[in-house]
Amino acid sequence: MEHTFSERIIFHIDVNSAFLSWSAVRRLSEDPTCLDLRSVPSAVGGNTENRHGIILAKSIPAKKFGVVTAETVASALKKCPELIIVPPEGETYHKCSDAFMKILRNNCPIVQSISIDEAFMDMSGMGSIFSSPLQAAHAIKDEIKNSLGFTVNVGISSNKLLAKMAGDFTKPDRVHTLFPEEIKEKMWDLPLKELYGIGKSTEAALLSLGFKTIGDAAAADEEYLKRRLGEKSGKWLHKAANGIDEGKVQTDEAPPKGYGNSVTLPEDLTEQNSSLVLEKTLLSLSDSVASRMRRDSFLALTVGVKLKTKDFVTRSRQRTLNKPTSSTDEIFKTAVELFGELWDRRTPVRLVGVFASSLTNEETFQLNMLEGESAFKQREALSKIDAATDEIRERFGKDSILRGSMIDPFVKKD
Amino acid sequence: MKFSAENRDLNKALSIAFRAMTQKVAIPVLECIHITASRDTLTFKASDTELSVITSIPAEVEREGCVIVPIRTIYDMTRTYPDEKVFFNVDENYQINIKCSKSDVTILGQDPEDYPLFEEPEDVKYLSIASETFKDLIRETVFACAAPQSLNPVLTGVLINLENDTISFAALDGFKLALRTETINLSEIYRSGGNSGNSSPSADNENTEGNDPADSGNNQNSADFGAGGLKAIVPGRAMNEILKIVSMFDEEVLFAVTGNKFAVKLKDTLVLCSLIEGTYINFKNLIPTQISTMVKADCNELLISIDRAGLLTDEVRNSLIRMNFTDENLVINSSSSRGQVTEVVPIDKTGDDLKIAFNSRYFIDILKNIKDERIIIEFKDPLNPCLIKPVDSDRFLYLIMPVRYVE
Repeated sequence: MEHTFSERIIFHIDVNSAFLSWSAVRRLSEDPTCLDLRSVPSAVGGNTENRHGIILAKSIPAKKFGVVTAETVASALKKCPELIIVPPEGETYHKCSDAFMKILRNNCPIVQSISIDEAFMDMSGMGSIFSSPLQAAHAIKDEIKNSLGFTVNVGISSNKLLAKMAGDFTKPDRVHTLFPEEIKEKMWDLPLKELYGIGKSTEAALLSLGFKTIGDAAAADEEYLKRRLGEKSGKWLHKAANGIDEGKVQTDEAPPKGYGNSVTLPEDLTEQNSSLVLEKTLLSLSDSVASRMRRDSFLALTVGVKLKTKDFVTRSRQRTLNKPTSSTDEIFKTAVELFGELWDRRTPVRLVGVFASSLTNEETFQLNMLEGESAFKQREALSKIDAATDEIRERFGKDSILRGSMIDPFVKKD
Repeated sequence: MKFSAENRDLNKALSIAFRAMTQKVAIPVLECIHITASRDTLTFKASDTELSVITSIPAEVEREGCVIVPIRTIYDMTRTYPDEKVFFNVDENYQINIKCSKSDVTILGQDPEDYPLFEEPEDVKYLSIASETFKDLIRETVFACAAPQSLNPVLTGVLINLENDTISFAALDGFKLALRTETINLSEIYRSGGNSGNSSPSADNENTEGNDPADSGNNQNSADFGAGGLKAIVPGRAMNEILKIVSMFDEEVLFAVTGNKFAVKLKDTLVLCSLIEGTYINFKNLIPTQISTMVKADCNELLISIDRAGLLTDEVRNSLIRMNFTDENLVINSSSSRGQVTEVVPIDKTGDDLKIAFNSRYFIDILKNIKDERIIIEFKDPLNPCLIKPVDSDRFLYLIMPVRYVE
């Protein structure tokens, strides 16, 4: 059966012997004539000096000697005395991982990194870019090999579970498919422990029931599995063994770096109109920034303001607070002070902005021996006002509650 | 004006003077150093309005005179010169020719009339203190000063408090408090020369006449300190510079408060610093009296563990470390997006178990200054300051306010 991008197509991409490959690539980039670690029995191992460390990754030739990940260096050397062991290089691995993920994201907008060296891609609907799923998989695999120097396996299917299973078939540098119609032939004969997501205890329970292969579990009655393994595990196993998985590829959305809002004023801010306009504008902007932060449960340690003069010169000023905040009031007060320092009160200003950065989502509050408990209580009271405001807006709309001083500001609500 | 001096003397004098110019000032002429050649002495004056320095070196003066010159230029020049004699010749247009070894330099000086002159205050009675003690007093408190832009100016300074034979330095910014106390011998009081620094102001010889240490031991005689002792607030930034200057000398330090200035005298060098006006906070009230948990710990062990835990903290989360005190030990935890740390420190604890969180940086700033092997830490509860003190004296006392946190 010929699969096309008109159906759901999921890729699983996995770097072959990631740490070892990345160490090898780094060495070759510094000395192209040096030994390629991937071509000989070799491994990345922690603490090679006292031989107490464990194997973190091994080359394919090392695998042939029976060297396995997570065994001790000493035990690996017993199996393969000529094993070359190199120390891990965290920084190299992060760089390689970033470059790898970047290529994936350049090829497809929906990428979920699940560890430093593997990721899912939702390739559905990519028909205008690639001719077929197989062609796409080879193109991405080869792009990584040619531009970064290491190989990957690509697993192709219609869901994450099957794509992941396909990705673990023969390595290295291969593309495999595992579509539902191939399950019987390619998956059911595999031992239970190969099933993606199966835990040690589920596996042990199934072995004790006489199950050996994924196919055995697939053939079992769902109710029986639920009784034996519990409702949740039984239901999951029945689906998984039959290649059913509804999980979505979750794009890794980077957390925001900061929040900001600015407004081009209907008329320039000048010394004459500033008393009418400035504080209202800053309050409205601060409220918009703060309420968005509260919506996303973030606090900011840095608050800043910016302005653009009538000659389009942009200036900004920011301050690090002594405690992170998402309070409209605190951000507004800081913005007013900063604007006072930033603006000479003579140059006409066409744009005013407020921003908040250095975000955190855990509330820590540095107590001050000079403020006593009143400051703390005041802060808690303000945060209650903010929370109530947010709730009213949630229910009745953004403009349903305003501060009295904000009536008729220049700022348009977003 | 024509003179010569050894470059090693010249370079040291300029490096001392340069310390008074680390703060940016709006007055361009204060980027210059004022040089006077008189008799057998060169006198340098530099000031950034808050901190002023007068220092003298021996010289062979052929023609007396004054000139001002950008300190940066002349200081950078002397730093490259070999350890040889440097010859200066200043003409009537304040053009300065400098010769040293094979180097021949001409730089433009300026009319000294433009320089806002300050003089060594006259008739000041100085107290003497061992250099090491004085440095410790500064070093172990100055870090607790509030940042220069603080809303309460007095907190940007170090409070010097002299009562009877006890001197204490204190600083606090609300998050931490440092108090350091020493006993000093008040009988050694010297009077300054009062000749605007042109004479060699060697305190040990001529300046003590008529002021026999034996009869100046009581407070009535030391008018500058007043009968009830002395309180003065010295800017923290200047204190750091004073510490650096004092560190260039080995001899004992003479200090005094005169008018609105804090004066420090070292051999041929006088440092004057404007005091911060205002009343210092009565911090004695902040020191907790009710204690529910008391801990004895090895200071260095604690410092190393907190230092390590501090590596995986975020500034945005107040560099938060969590401490859990139990009968067995202290467990310190920290975490950030980069990982997490658990440290176990052996302690002797009396009183309640306690969970409390702190900014690791405040703890590190304090512990790294403590030379004692063991320290006592006392707590009331997770919302009140912890108190750090020596096991066997009250030489120092530190308070750190905890961080309240909500997961």
